[in-house]
Amino acid sequence: MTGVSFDFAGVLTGQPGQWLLSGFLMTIYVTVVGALLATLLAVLLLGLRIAPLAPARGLAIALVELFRNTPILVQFLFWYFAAYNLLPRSFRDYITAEHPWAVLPVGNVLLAPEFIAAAWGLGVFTAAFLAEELRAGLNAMPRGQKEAALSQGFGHWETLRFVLLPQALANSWQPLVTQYLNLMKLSSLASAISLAELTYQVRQVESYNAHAFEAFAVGTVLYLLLGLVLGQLLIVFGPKPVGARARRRAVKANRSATAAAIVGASGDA
Amino acid sequence: MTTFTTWDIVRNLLLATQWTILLSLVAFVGGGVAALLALLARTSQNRAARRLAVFYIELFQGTPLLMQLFLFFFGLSLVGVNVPPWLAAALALILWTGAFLAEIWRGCVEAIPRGQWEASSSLAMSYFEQMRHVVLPQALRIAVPPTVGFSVQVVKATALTSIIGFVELSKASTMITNATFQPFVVYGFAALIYFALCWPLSKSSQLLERKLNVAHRNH
Repeated sequence: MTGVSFDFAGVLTGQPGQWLLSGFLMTIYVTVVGALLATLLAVLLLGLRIAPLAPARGLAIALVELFRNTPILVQFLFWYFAAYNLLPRSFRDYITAEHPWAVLPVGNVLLAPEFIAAAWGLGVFTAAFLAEELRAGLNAMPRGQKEAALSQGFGHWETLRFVLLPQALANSWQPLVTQYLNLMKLSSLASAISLAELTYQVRQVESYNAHAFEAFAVGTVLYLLLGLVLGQLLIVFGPKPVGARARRRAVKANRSATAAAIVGASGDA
Repeated sequence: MTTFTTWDIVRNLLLATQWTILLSLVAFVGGGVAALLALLARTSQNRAARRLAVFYIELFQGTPLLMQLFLFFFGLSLVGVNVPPWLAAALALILWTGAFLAEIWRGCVEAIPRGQWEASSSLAMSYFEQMRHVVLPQALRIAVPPTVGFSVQVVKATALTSIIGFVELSKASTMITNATFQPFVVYGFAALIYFALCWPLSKSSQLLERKLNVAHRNH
């Protein structure tokens, strides 16, 4: 066997380079849109989950269990091949029509069925996890916090809005960041519904000039890089734990935990 | 044109589910062995062994499973080894599962108070005797709920192997959809089958956690 030689110029320049760049940007777009959607849906789910109405709670539990206990790949396939076709004809025509404003640099199109199904799928799946992390943060709050707020004349909603949620958010920020980073990594599975993101383009390069190892190596490094940057941004600009002791603990934990959070060490798929 | 009844669809999905279950078991058992080896190396006195274990764990936890599957499937054929999809799927899933279980179990081993190590070493036990007779029996109780919980992720992860062409539940769903043009029914049932596999595991993990509640017993 002759030695294996590597040709990284073959994947970083010319057409393959263009593909990888466009795929990398698409991964960023779908991650951002998916994360925003996930945040919005998580707040809704949390609201249902802690509502005083039993049927609302039941619905939230059922949705969370359903999305957490099925593979996201199957959810993607479901949204893209089955659910999307149930949308009104006029809406689908609008999506597939040409929209110059929805074309981003390097030719990525946002208003496409693949993009919508992928962002929606990522959003719904991650929302189920985010809602549970937030609820765990709420449950970890000492009872005294709620009692003190109620005795100060806060209503139920105000207690939640001004006292409980800010603390819960700060305390569960670390696992929340892990979930957002997991969303970024899971966007790689959207290649199965032909969203032209990084993994899709890596495979395209592989079948174009058979530079399998180089393409996968570049892809892996790009994911790792994106995870590092995204993780640092979320931790630096995210809420800080409340109280001096919690802050000290967080700073100490940060040194080791950032590394774990950054690579998104959650195996959920 | 042939018509397909709903039963045809469900029956074929259930046939494919066998492979999902088999692959999950192989990944879980194989991953357990890999995790045990990684755990011993990770907690050993030998510096090189610890480094190697950390490298293995971070490599497999830090990159997408899909990339790992591709590396085993396409990467090994690059050096002239022909790997069938089932072998690449099994190898990648075993190593991926091992990396996660190793870290879960390390947490459980480290939850054992240091006094237990000190007491057993003052009784002249070797590292393996300490592990075998003192630490692991106690760590095992703490480890059961998170391990069962992780098995859910293993079952869900087997769906990714459909992308490299291993015919399990997800791949079968796509194939059946292509034949029947009934994506709603097919993917709906596929999701239900996954749910039927995973939900009991999730629930029992929660129940075990509540029942054993060993982590907080000494407080």
